[in-house]
Amino acid sequence: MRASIVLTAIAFLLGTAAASHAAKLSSAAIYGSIAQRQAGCTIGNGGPTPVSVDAHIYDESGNIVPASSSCNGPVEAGFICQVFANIANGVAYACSVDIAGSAKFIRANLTLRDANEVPVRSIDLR
Amino acid sequence: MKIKTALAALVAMLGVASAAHAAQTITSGSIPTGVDNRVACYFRNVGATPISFQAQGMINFTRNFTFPNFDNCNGAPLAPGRTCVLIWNDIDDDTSFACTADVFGNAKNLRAAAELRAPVSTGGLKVVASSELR
Repeated sequence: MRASIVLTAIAFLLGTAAASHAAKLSSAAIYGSIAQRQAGCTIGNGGPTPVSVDAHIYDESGNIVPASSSCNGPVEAGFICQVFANIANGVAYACSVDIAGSAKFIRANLTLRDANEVPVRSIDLR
Repeated sequence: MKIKTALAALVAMLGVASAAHAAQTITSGSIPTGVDNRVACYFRNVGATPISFQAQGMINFTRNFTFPNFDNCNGAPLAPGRTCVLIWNDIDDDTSFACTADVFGNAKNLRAAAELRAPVSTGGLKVVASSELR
């Protein structure tokens, strides 16, 4: 009986660990200014191993905005990948990242920039 | 016997988890940079005891690639209530910048942020993007 309780506890702990191996980080939707022209979502891997990510920029309707992306393969340890999209000047945009593994060491940031690539607003993904 | 083995495994797992709290790393998001941008990493101790940490900036999330022009964070623990800063007068163009710190102890009472400053047409600089370290 005691053995089964202990084994159940261990199984629970391991299950919790396994469940943490898929994660999602998302930003709020942000509006910069009438000068906004480009949205960039930058995903950095501060951990010791490569991590696969699937990142997209979204408009207010929840549609994926067509973008160029360097997030097509695993992000190596100590590196970044980026998604860039041309955006309209009257609506807000957001970024979401699906992570095939733990999000513990992943940091991501959405920045809206003007025509001169000067940031007008930024937000972290959580 | 089975119970002993199971308990030993459990203790080992918990031991690994608690050992991970000996040093904590906090990192900001990576902010895209442009021309003539300046950046800063601010650290504030909101606790009641000094905090020791090693802070640095990262280009494209790579450590030991860029070094600040001003730094009053590294070299001495940050006293309670105090803020210190790392400043770069001209960060590399068209990359991305982030701040990170290895905290020797608990990072619970350390608040920190990365800031990007860009020139404005009227002169001077304006903070145009920021990201908190966590």
